[in-house]
Amino acid sequence: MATSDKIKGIFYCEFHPTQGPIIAYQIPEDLINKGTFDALHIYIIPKKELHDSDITVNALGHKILGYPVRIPGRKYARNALMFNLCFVFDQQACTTDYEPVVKKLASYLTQLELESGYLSNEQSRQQIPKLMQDVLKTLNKYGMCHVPMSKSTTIHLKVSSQIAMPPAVADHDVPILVKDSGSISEWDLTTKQILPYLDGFNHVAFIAAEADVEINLVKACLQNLQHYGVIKLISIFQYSNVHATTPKIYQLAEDKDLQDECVKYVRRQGHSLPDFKDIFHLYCEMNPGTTVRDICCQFNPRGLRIDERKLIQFGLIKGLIRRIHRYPVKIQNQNVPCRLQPLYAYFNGLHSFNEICGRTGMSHNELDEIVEDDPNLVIYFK
Amino acid sequence: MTDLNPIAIILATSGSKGNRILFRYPPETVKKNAVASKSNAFTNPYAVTIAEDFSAKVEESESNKENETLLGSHNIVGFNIQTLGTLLAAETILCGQRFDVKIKDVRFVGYPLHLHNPNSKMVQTIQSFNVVIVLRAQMMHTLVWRKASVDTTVVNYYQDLAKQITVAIRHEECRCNYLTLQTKAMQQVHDEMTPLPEGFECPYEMILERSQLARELKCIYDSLCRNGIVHLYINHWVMVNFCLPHRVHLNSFNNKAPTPEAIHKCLHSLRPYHGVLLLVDSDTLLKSLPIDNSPALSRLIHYINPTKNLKTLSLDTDLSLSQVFRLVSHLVYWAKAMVIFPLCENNMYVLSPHTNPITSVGTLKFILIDSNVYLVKSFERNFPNESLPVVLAKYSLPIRMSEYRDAIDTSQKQSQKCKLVVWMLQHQVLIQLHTYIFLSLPTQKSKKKKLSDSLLSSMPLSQCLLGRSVPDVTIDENCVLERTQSSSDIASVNSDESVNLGIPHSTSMDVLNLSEGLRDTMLKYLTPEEYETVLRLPASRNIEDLKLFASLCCYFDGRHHLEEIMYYENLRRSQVIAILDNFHDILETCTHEDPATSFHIR
Repeated sequence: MATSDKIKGIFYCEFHPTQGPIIAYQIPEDLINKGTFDALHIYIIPKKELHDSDITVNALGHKILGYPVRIPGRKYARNALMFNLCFVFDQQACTTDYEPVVKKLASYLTQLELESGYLSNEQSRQQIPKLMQDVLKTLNKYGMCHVPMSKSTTIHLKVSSQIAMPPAVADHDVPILVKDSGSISEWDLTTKQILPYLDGFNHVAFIAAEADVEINLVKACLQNLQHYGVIKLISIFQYSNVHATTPKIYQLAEDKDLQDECVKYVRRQGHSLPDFKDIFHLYCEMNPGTTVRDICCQFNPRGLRIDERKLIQFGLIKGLIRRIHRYPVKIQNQNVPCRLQPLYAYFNGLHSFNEICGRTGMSHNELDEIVEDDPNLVIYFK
Repeated sequence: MTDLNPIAIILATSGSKGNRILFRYPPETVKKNAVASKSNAFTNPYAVTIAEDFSAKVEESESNKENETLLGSHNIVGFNIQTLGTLLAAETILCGQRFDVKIKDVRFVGYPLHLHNPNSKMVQTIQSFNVVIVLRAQMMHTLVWRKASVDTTVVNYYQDLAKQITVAIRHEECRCNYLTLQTKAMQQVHDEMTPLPEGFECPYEMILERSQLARELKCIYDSLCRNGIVHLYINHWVMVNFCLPHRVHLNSFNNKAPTPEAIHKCLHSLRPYHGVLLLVDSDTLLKSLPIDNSPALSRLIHYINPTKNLKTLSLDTDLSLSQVFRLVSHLVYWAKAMVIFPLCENNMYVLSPHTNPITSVGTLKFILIDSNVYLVKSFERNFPNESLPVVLAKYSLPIRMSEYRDAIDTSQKQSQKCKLVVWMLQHQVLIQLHTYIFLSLPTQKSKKKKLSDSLLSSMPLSQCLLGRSVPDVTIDENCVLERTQSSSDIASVNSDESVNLGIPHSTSMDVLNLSEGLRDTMLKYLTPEEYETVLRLPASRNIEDLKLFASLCCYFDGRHHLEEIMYYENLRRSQVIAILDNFHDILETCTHEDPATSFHIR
């Protein structure tokens, strides 16, 4: 978390029966001055229809995140208690992660007020600054906090970053562990069941079959692991695969740590460490016209104490090389033999060789033969 | 991708008649059929659970979500007009700075301004006014990079636009009471409408007929939705010119828009050897320019040609190089041009990994993505006799321009092929591959270790044959001297470089002196050990080769492509290739795209 994204302060404001909107407590004391509050109070203690909605105001040097609440009740001077507990940030801060936190805190306070009159009782009110202080300090420090309020109530808050959906997992993808998955007991049962099969060579459909888990469950688990950064998806290893170097390759030439990591990673089991120069040479030889088989025949990586499978794995994980997929595309529909008709549905440039093989159960060579001979088809490499 | 578009544009004023919304576009009526589209809103299973898990309302999460959103497909719902007026007509203290309020999933951005015009003869009823652009708060998910920072940059761009508009309006108000007159007309419509029952007719439609400002705001909204470029004159007088880079590049680029940072990075790495490729027809571009554009720009556009580099362009147009850079940056920012390496015979092209799957419309019944249909149609219009998939398949493997254009082809066909390449570059179907060079020396440490371990005998044959790992630690200064004596005969055999340069071969004395000078240049980029290794190579015996190698040393870090080296060192391709051949033992080459010019690829 960047320092600029830290909470600058917290204030509690309410609609006073005689004074109107006021700041009751704020931490630190000089957080919001009166002029600023007067200019912004329409957004902080807003009209009725905007209650119970998160409102962010970015003005006058502050980014104020609030969740105004209105609790109706006869006992209140104006027949309702209106309050808002606001977090204040720097103007450039990214606050979307805090929106649920503010909302949750507001609902805790609402609950406390309904149950014990926490906010309206003069005595218990005095604790609000302390609560704000605790929340501010621990949230900034740990990103979460637990504040005991009463015997039965504890306020639990956690800032969880908004996450994007990890990319979907396909049948023919190969998951590979890039981080220690931690102790295996941390994970749920299904994940535990498939974890042993993640060796960087097995593809998803194979894992599902081996671990005897329904394939969609496997995909869901892998997506989850992907979110935690434990695995990455790479393409299945085949000697017919083609790879090309990416602009990131210069990192390997410059970064000594990466070189050491690479040398250790790609070493052939039971042999001494390979020479970095050889590894680098092999990476540089990868281009859109060269298959892994070509490279193996020409340079004999095993003789150089390099495991070519690991070599490709490392390159893909670090983004030094990218896989070039082959996409058959049909350009005309003439004299297609009947038995190939169903296959033709895949030849629209959306499905790569791997995917078609995975779906139809054909081997790469079988498909290759069909595709190569067919004048109706062209192949994109990309 | 339409998530970047504004939802509405609103004119709010604050003054003696209170805070009010005088005009909004599109009018609210659209909301009636809007609710249905909520289902295709972005749902993130992870985010939703986290946002909802506290209140024991999970079972109601669907209905909750209804509450969470203020958005219909085209409009904001759930506000009454007075509330909105209070919120958007900003207090005096907020005037003259960026305005940004986010309520639920709607964000209101604007730039309120205070009006004080002591010269005005008319009674001022308006204290301050604000042009508010209504946006979706969660727009980042449509973009590839999924970072919240994008949100902020988009917001900033829209705030800048709002500022341009409000400042222009204020200027016109001071000049000829534009705002006062326009608001009066709007107010009149509102007053006429008030007695009518609610929902009878929307006042905004009528305002559009009567008020010019309203039509201008509508025009701004429409053009923002169309392509992200706003170009109009407020009151036929003050120009408003704006472009949202996230959006304009989305139009011209396949499917993913680059970040403004990526564009700026590309513009920073602009070099004199780069070329420019116009993305629109030059005549159309010239016509679209404002009347008072810089004559230098139109001159540049006139001369732009994909085969010219910026240096040539600067000579052709008689502009300084830095001015050409600035003008080109301008064109790139507005998505009117892209930076390429000038077309030449040796350029190597390959299919871009992000090329959309393209099939010809006629033969297939598959549902195609919009941009593809556009691509295919554009292709068929331009090249009626060619088939796009076949042409693309030719670029599956990297192919040089010269190979693609067969020498036996007629000149007409050749120019057609050139046009094809230009078209494919314009539509970013192709990327250019460049050759990058790395210095890759055997690691010294491992060598000595190997010797001491006496692994030499057990070394695989292939390795010995490649000759890289055979260590030669006993070489000293004398050895170098000894070797250099034989330089001339080898040079005459294996290198024609020195002949080209026309410098007589050096005697051993010269070599010593030269190597003193060379040593300094080379040691700048090489460690002493590396320097030793280089000297020990057979190729180093030719002093001319060694000199050239020394001058190119700084480029061997994998960040400079062959063409760049040629340009900066004023060398021919064959000369650089010769060096690569001679020193192939310690140099590695690899090919990939130039990250500077290919900012649309990630």
